[in-house]
Amino acid sequence: MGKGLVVKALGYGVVLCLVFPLIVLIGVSLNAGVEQNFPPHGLSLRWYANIVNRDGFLRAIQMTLFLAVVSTIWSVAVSILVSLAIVRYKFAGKDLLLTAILSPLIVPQVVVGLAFLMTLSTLGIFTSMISLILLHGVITLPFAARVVVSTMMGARISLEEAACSLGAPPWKAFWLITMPLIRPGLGTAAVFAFVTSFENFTATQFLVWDRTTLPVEIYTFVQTENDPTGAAISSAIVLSVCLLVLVLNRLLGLEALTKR
Amino acid sequence: MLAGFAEYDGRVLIDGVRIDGVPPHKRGIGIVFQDYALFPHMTVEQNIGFGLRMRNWTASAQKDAVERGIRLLRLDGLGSRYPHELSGGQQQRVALARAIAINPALLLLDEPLAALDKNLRDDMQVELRQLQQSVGITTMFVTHDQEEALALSDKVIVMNHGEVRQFGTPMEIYNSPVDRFVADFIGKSNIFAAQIVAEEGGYLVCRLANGAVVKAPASANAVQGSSIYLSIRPELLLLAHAGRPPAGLENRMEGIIENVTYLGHRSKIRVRLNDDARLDVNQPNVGIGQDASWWQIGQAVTLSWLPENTVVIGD
Repeated sequence: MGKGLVVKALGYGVVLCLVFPLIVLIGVSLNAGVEQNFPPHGLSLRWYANIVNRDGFLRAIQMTLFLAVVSTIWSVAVSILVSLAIVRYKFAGKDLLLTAILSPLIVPQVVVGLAFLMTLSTLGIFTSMISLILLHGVITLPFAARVVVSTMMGARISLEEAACSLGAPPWKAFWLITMPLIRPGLGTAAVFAFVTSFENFTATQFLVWDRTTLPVEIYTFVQTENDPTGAAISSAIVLSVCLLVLVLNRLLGLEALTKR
Repeated sequence: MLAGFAEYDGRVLIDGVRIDGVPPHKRGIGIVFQDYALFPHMTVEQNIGFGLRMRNWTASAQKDAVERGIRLLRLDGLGSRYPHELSGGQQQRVALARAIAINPALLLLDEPLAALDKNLRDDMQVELRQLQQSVGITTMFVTHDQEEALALSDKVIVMNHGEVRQFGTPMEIYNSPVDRFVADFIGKSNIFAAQIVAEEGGYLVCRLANGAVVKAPASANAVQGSSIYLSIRPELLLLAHAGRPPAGLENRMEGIIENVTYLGHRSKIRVRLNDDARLDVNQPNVGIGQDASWWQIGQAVTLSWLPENTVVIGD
């Protein structure tokens, strides 16, 4: 019984550590005044309204969503091809390919960002749109690929062969048999890729020349301004994520997101 | 290779037509995979109908054919189940129905019974044989189970390391194996090296390595003085107390019982001969005049058998 109590206490402790800062954040965002107090002094949504007034935030949100969508589509598509190659075929340098794709997981983000900065400036590319698409394509791929490769391992080749023996051309066998089987994995991969792109700060901040992303914009804002708008937009993200998780849970089931 | 999934040299013909360049999906060969390869995200009906869907049959024609398959393989009431909701035997019947539904030129069964437990396997053997004969599709059955091969086939090909060793009816394969591999692989055999010393009265008189002289049926290509091998099935040997063999069984050997394995309806007895060679004997435990109780380790025995039951093999 004593042991159960300790486990419980630990569990609630962890949950508290995760949730409490968010409560503070949301509290601060609701301040009526300019001061960032917790508990808030007076309640108001004026700082949420202020997000819209600041052009920088809107443009950053646009950029961030665009990047997240593009890199999600890209990394899921590439993951399918990569996992087909790795799971279905034998070729020299197979392990090397997998290691290379997964390497952004291990190499520190600062290093990745700096490497991109140096390479792109050498090439004379100073457009954030191009640079960030390249960067996010690279950093989201390992998250998607890991999931898709392991899902593909579960889709037996004999199923496609069976489909072929029954008269399905290879592409149809893949589309009708393998695709439905790896679909949950693709969903998970898409969520991972999207979130990875959306929240990336460390590597992204090296490449914000003419455009910026939301995490970088919030960071810049907090450094220069001193009102709860930063808290407001952060709270807005937290709330949208909660909403997203609810919707995804409805559509896919939470197990689909948590199992690899 | 037959199905077109592996690279190979040589030629494959179905009904006299070469199909080597034909991709798998155009070969029209029905395959039952070892793991059945049922599509897990499709119902039994959708699985059986898949090949017809690929052939763009009309919905009603597909439905009729699927229903026929379900009836034929006694899957009634399971049509809307998913594969993971079926037992092993049912899954296998779905795989069969799916392969038969496309009315294949050839049905390829790749060790389809390997994953089933023994009783179910025996039932399925009978069922498979009946089904195969009723639909009349040429069927290629790959198995590592020799008994299964004999039980299910009209013709058996015995292969060893990718090489064909013998092709014939189950009876031919069992009763007249062409070489030592086939003799020992299809049912156990006791194999002895021997030398032909004479030929008399339609029999070859052979001397074994241990000095025993036995008779074997004469065969055309057996030349006096040449070295041959003799094969004797364990179930054709008769075990008797030493020096008291029954009359009529001309071939005899003396030995000592080394091991007795009781198997219910029969016993497997290993006898050590005077030159330390071992010989396996299968004896029924129950039967007319049969008394199993005296088979004890260390007992001296005489083995006897009919000359006709000795098989001469070249090498």
